[in-house]
Amino acid sequence: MLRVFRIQRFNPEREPRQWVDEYTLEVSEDDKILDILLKIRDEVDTTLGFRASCAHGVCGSDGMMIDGLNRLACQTFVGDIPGRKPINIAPLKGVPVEKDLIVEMDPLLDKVKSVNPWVVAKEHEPGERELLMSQEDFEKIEDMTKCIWCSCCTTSCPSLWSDSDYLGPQALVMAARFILDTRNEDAEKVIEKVGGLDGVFRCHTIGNCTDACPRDIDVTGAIAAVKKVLLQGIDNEDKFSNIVWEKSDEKE
Amino acid sequence: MEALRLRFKTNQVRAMNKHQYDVIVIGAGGAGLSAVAAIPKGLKVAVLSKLFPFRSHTGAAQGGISAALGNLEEDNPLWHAYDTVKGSDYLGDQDAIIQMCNDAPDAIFDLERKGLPFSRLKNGKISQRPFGGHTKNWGEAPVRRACHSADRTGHMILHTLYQQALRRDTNFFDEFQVVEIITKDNSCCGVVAVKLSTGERHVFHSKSVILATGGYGRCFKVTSNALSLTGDGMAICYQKGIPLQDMEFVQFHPTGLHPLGILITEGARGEGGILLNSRGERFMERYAPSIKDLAPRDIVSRSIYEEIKAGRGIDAKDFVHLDLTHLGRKLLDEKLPDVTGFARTYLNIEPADEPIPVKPTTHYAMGGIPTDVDGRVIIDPDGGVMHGLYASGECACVSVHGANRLGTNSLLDLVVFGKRAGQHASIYSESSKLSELPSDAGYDSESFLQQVRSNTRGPKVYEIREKMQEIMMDYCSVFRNQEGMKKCASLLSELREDFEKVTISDKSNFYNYEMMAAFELSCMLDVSEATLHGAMLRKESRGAHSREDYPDRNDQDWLKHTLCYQEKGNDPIFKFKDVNLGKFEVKARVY
Repeated sequence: MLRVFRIQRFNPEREPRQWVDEYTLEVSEDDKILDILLKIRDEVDTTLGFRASCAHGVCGSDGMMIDGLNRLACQTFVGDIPGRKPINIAPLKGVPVEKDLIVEMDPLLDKVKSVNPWVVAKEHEPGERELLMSQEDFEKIEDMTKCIWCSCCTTSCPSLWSDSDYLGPQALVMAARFILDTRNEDAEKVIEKVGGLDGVFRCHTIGNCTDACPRDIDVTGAIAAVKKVLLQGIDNEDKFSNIVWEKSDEKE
Repeated sequence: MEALRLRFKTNQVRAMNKHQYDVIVIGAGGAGLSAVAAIPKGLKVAVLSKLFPFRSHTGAAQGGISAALGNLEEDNPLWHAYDTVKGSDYLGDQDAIIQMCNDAPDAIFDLERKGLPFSRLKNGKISQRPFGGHTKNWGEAPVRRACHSADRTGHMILHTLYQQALRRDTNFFDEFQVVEIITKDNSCCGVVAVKLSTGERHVFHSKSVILATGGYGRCFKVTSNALSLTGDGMAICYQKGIPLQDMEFVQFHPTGLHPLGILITEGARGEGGILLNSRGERFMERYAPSIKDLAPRDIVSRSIYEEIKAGRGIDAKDFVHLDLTHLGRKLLDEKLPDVTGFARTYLNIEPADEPIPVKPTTHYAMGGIPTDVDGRVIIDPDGGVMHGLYASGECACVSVHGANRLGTNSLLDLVVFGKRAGQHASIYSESSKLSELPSDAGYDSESFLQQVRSNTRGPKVYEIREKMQEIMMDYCSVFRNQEGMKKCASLLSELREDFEKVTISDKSNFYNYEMMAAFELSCMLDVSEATLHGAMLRKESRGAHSREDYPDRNDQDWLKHTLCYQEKGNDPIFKFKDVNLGKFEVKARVY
């Protein structure tokens, strides 16, 4: 079948403003949007700019706005946008565009880096080779550790669109993971980073982030866990045991 | 390609931005970041990657990383070493293998302390599961050795190492494509890189360089590899007279999602999944009676092809079924969530209810840049080194994988040998001075880039790339024979000629992916040449290299490594290097 792809373009060397190019291609429902973009770049317009690498949803390079929603081009199929209407493809919102579908990564990475997203290992229990962790504690953080840093969540967040200083969901998911990781000696330092004016309380539980996540992470739930830690404080005797881990409504 | 380079005679090398460092790391996947973690803080380090580090393909590894921790049952690093030697079809160097398997437990605990969220056992220790070719008591039965984080072990390794690199405030140059290594009198003194966003050329002048650039699965039509895996690091060495070792050995993973080639982890069979043919037979019982579906990958891939050849592919087509339905939804969700997700996303199949169509997919390069156990790049059969140049991970050939790699050993390889390369490069850099750059530094890559830019009438990059991928898949994959490969060689040299006229329409310097694709294609043509000619030369079947016209292993003539040297304008030439044997006796390989 023939489908029309309307791709938002930008090349400051050619034109100061964004424009839209239309491509009409013979495609099948099973074609991934990434396949279409690669085909256009190979055969039609080699100047089309977009990032891609693994092509199966684990590297996070090709997050973009497809038919109005943030998703990975390699996980989205032509058939996911039913009907015959043109398929709109645009870069992620809320961060400066560099070229076509390529956005600046630095503002996004700076947010994540600012929350100290790493483990500073505690001492071992005597006689043990590894830092013991229960499967239960692992499961508390497992959902968040799936994050591939594609930024689909952060760039779908209206709070970020209106205030670019807001940390945003991606950084907060990382914060949740390193606050709740029972092996992290420096969990409190992470907590200190997320409580400020641009921190977790800018989240208004809109939920776009959870819908946008291509890894099905319960982003809103992770942010709620961070809020809870900040509000209830940390009981040093039994750290974080008061956190009830609740999944927000499952995505469709 | 060389003709192309020579034809372009100019001394007008564009001005370059210059940087000076003690150590330069090229590639920021598991190997590169493991090296970074091992470099003392006093040294000035830069990490260059053509991607953002956390996009690297280590992140796609699924099933696990092996170490004889013995968390569930008795295990022993020597059993692990024995399995690896046998898995390598005795071509792996035994000293390196024993080193790797002995270092494995500490490597796991080190990752654990860096924050890697391993799946856990009830007692809080790291969970382990069975994997292909990993056995107890010298091949008796499968053993639980693969430490894992659900089925996203590589993702966790990559992100954990990147997080720790951030903690160290590492100096990253993201989206820099390295196009040339700079060598002088058998020592390496830096690299030339192109900044993707501006097209600017940068010289990174350094005391040592660690290459960790990954494999070249994209030379083949069906692959589990990322678009970025185009053999760049291997090719830029090959172009400078450094040999490539054992390039004929390419691993085809038996369970790529049909028809896309996306990886379904061997861990799926580790958890109890089985392969079925069109008659519903568990055919691996016939090919590997003792460990069946958990036989090493070369054997399982060949067995699948044998079934297909005999007309027992599903619907008489070129795939078989991976059946996970008997494992139950709970186990799939807990232990194999990502791969079941792939089946749902890409094939609309529910693995808890119906079998997954799979076929072999190009997965891993056993061969690569020859190194010793400290990552030092070796340039001749006697072990002479290129001073200051290191390689680790898939782009290197230590060789711990020999003719066939066991599942989980690639993650172990990159952690263990990435670290060793980082340590040794640090010692080297601490005790040496920056050597002066040669006057022609950067000349070759500049000639190449300018030539591609100035070509006006010729084939497009994708046209040559697609043909190359097709012929490599058709003639140089799971089964090979002289006739087919001869044909492939003549087609490949035609493609190389075509490539001299390759024409790009994007002449800008601003995110010029077409130019980068042309460079990557030049790399793929180089490594395809080395792979194909190595495969033609090796007249035996061993591990992943399976010759229909020479079906048996021939230890008398071929128990040796090949070193492939580029011969400008001609077929490559080969030298041979001894295999480091020793502890484990060379025997017939039966499972």
